[in-house]
Amino acid sequence: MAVYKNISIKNKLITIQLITSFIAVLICCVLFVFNDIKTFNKSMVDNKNSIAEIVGVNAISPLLFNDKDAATQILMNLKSNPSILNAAIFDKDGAKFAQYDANRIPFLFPPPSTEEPTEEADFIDRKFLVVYPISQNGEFIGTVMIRSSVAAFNEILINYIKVAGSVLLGALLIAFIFSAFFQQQITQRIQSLMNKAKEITSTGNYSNRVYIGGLDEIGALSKEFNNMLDQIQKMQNSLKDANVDLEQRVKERTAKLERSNQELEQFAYVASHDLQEPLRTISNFVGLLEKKYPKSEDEDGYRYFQFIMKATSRMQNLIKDLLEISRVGRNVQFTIVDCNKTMLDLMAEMEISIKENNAAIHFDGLPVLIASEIELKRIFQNLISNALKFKNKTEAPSITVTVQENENEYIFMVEDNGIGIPAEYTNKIFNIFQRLHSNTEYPGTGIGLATCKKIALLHNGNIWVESTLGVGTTFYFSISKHITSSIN
Amino acid sequence: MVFRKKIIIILLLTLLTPIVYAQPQTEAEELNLKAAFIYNFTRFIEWDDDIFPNEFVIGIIGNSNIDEPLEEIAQSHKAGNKKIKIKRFYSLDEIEKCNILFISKNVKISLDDVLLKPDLKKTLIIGEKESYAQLGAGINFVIIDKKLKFEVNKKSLNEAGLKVSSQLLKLAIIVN
Repeated sequence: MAVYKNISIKNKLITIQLITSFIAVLICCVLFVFNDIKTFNKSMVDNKNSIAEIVGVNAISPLLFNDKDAATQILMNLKSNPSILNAAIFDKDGAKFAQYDANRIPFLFPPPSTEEPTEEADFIDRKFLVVYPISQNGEFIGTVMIRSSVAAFNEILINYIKVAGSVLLGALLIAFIFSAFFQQQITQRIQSLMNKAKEITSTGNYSNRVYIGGLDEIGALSKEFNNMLDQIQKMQNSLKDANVDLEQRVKERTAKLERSNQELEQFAYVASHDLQEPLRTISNFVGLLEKKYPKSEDEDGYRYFQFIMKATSRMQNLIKDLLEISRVGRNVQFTIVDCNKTMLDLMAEMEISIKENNAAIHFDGLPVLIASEIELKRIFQNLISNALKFKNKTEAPSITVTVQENENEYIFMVEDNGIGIPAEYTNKIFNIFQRLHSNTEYPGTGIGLATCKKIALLHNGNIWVESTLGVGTTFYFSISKHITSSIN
Repeated sequence: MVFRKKIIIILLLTLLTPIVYAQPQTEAEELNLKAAFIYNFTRFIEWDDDIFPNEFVIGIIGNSNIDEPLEEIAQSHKAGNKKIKIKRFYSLDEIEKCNILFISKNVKISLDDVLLKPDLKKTLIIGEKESYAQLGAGINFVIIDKKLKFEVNKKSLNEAGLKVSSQLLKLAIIVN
């Protein structure tokens, strides 16, 4: 059955039709042959019976007048019928009266019944034996027996089988030709449907349509197939539209976001810039007031001045850092930067701080790359300042700046031997205003590392940290090698 | 041995059968056979119903014992649907109308006299003397090869208005 499943529909149709016609013709042949054999059989019985009757009628007078020669003569007339092998006439006492043997081979007929003479016709030893009682006016006179061969019958049977066989073969041949011809109507359409489906699958061209060609099942299938294609096409189009719409909306949103971001940055920048001036005024005049009212005269007042001065200074730092972070990315200029020179400049600027902390700063073989020099210097400055600030209390700070290079970017490493950062904070520290320590312990604004992150992002890079508490911290930041394109 | 015995018996039987069945061995047997033949003739010959409407008369003339077997047949058989009656005649004058008249070979009367009798115009005359058929008897018994046969004079039968079946004629020796 599994094999049959995989046979093509074309061959299936032909096979089905062949089997159907074979069965139909076979049944017809069998019925016809059966009927003909029956008819032939009956006609043979009738024929032999009528021969026996004729012989019987003719044998009446010879039997009555005891004329065996005449009886034999009557039997001799049967010579003209070659199927008759033997014939005999018996008298009313069942004694043989006359016999005829076609092939001179005497046949010993079974003695006829004289008590209840009846007509009989039977096949005995593949020969046909007819027993015919002779009577006149109801008086039993004798019996005729005729034994004939069924050779003719067999011959006819064989003939019938031959004819039936050839009819069967002929019918099969014709059925094959017709089914092979007619199955095309079905299979060709299925084939074309299949080819179209294949074509659509391979090309993805859903605007294709199949030829329907009729209202039968294949037509219905083709129609549904076309409907399906319609739906797919509609869906594809609406998907395309939705996509375009989505892109448009994303573009709009992005523009809006960029705008509001810019506005926000502008606001932060302007606010921090403009806050500096009144703060400086406050600071200056508080300084003047402090001088006018020295510590000796009013101790409480002096302490208050001190608080105001500290707060003002913290606020100045905060505003300075805010200004710095909002400056990142403003009027940025990417130029060729020699990192070694930048580091040397930075060291010179930070000389006092470095000496105060008794720190050792190492750097070697830094690359020449394209970047914003100001920003690059600031990221180094922030990281080194941090390293100095969070130094180990028992050890002099030692800071090493190295670089790794791969196909796409430079990865800078700023390694210190400071107090380290707890592992759970390594991601948080780059958020703005995120501080791990109180202001009295380690003064700061919580803006420095956020500025570093912003600078790294500006250079299509990133920043991250690895740290072991009490051993040291390594900051990594990457600078893309593909910034060239964004140089104005 | 049993087989050989059987063959001998069969051989004996085959040799004996014709003697037993076909050959009139004795006077009595010959008469029996003739009586049977006479009766059988009635099966193949049609008589005019006018002769006797209700009976079938077989007359015998001349000295013969055939009346015994004929009487026997008459007791048990009918001619068509008519009762058979046997009549004995002893002289020419005695002879009356009948369906069949059997003339014994021992008769002293001449055949011509019998044939000329007006009562016997429609009668089947059966003889058993040589050349009786040629002389005008309808049927005449003869012995050929020790077998009982019969001659038929078709002209005589026709003149008597008797219709004879061809079945009978094919067994007969036709004279004239």
